[in-house]
Amino acid sequence: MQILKNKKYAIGLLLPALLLVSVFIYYPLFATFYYSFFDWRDFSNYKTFVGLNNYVQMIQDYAVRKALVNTFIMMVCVIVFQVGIALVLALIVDSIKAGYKFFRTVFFFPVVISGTAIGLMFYLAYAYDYGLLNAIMTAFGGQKKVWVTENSALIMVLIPVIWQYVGFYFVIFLAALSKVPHDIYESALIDGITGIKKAIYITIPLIWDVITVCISLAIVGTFKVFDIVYVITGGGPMDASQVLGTYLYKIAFTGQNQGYASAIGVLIIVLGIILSTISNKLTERETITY
Amino acid sequence: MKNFKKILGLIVLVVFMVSIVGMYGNTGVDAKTTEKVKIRAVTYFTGADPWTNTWKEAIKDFMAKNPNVEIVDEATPAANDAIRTKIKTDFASGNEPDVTFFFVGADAEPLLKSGKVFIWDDELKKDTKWSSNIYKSALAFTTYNGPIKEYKGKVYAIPTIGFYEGLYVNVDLFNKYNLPLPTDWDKFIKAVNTFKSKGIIPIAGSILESYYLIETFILSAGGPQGHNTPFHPSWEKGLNIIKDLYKMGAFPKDALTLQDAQAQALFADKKAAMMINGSWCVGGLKDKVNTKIMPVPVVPGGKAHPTDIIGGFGSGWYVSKDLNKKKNGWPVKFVKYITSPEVEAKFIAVGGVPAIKCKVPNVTPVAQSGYDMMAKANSVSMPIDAQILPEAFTKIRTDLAYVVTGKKTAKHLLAEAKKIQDSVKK
Repeated sequence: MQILKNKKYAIGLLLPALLLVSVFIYYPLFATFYYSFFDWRDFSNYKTFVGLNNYVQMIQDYAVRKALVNTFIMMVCVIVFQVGIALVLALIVDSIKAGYKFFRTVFFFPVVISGTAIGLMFYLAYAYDYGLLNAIMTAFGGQKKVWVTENSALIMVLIPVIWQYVGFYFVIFLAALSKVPHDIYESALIDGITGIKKAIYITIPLIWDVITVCISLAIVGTFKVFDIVYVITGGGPMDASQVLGTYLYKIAFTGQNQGYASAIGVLIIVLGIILSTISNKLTERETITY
Repeated sequence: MKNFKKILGLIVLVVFMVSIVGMYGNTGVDAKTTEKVKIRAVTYFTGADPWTNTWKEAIKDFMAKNPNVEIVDEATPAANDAIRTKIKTDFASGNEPDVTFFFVGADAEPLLKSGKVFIWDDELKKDTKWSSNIYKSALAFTTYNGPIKEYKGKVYAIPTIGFYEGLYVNVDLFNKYNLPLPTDWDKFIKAVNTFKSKGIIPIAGSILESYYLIETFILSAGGPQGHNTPFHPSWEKGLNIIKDLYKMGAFPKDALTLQDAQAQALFADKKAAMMINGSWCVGGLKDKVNTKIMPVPVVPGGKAHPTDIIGGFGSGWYVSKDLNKKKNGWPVKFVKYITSPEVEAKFIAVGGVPAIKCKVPNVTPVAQSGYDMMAKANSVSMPIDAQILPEAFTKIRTDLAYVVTGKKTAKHLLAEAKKIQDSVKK
């Protein structure tokens, strides 16, 4: 009771936030789980309990399997390229004295543009008849080509997805690098360690906890990819670039089947939790304090 | 210091009270406006829609004539099915608007199931001065014939702007290459081959958004009877025709990912010779003189009459039964105003087919060709998506890419869609 009395202001201040999170996150979360056991269409008041039918349908659904495979490919690419490029850029920018602020702003800039705007920009760039890429090709005497095909669709949506959030992780890494004490680098310099070796053996271990957080964020972020894919390809052609988010949207809003869409939503939530837990375990290291 | 605090407190109190008074002033809660009626109207006349300006002008005029009525414009885009989600959730959650401009057919059922939709029959009988202007054939599209007893045989929405789907032709391109207009299948195929050889896209069609291709070719293959019978064997033939045209190279090279808006631009810019689309495209055409709209030709062995078309009145004005009563009939009065011949003429001047008798000034040649096609039609069928579940139709539309590329047969796709349809009926 004494603790409660002492912390009453803190609890009072936390309550509104807790209320908001409960109403807008936890309630929809549990409601989604509940609705996934019903045949519920057209957002109507009429629902029929169907048990695990929606989950059975999900297992049999080719588009869900394709979306899962695409999501995993996207996850690997995001970790390798998004987090990887961000780390490399941060290491390079951290090592320069002039232009630090310029590069920080330039690389962060795509993060502030909405995903829909980026999607539209790339959709127009890829277009066959009016597209930027084909305009460049023909200007140099080349032939127009179809950029988004069944084979290339996933890569074509991955490019903007990766590009947009490189800056986000880049800024986080930059902040982490600024915290590394300079005397460690000076000692390393005396021992003759420079360049890539310095990054591998000193910098990366020292900011490893930040890297793990970024990897977790990237994994969870992959499940949220929607706008860019939706605008550029709509998940097609032939589900080639389908991700769980776009397929959920298609079922819920174009197909008006909210029960089945809820089951897909549950799959996204469960996978997100499992994968972020696994990534946390895999990247767990003893925290280095400095 | 104490005095300072008191003065500060007093200032804060005064400012607070002034703000409260100001707020009341803004919301119109004063003696003069206590009887003011607010009507929430949801339409899809957003910025992207060609009728937006006409709609805005109409509500402004109505409010000027009726100063006690305020129309709250809650326009929601039709794109990405945003309007469907809004209307259906609003009706399901008891937040239905006073007036709604929404789709009819399969989309109307969830609204009617809620029992909140006003039935127009009495009003149509009572006010003949207004109702005699509405075409009976248009009202047939908004008369309910399904299993909900309360609405059986009743008019649940007032039609206003109709539509047709047909083959748009850039006549000047046909003249340039001495091609006859595609009035039958042989001429159509000849045009496809000629334009392809000349580097012009034969048909500006999108496989990704293939609504109109599916509907018109299924109608052409099966005639009205086949088209209007869910999963009739002729549907397979209709889809296979699209596949054959795709293999011939009749569509843009990026048809699998091309959006309909871009396909329309290709036709409007004369990069494509033909386009299968609806009456809503007329407003966006650059050349309204050298463009003609005609029925899609009958495919070999097809059951359609050469003038059978897809069309009708796919949207109408709904009113909330309870809110109309509560607001002294103002929602109904507003819909009557919107569906008066004067306002109708303004809407039709932008595009579409009138459901209400009106004089439309300055009809362009292309719009006239559309009206002629509608007037001469042997039959007018509502699109397939008004007849089957949205999920089943979405399956056919989005998986058409598998069919045209030969990765799935039309038979297999239709069987998958039918399975979805049947799973709900159980």
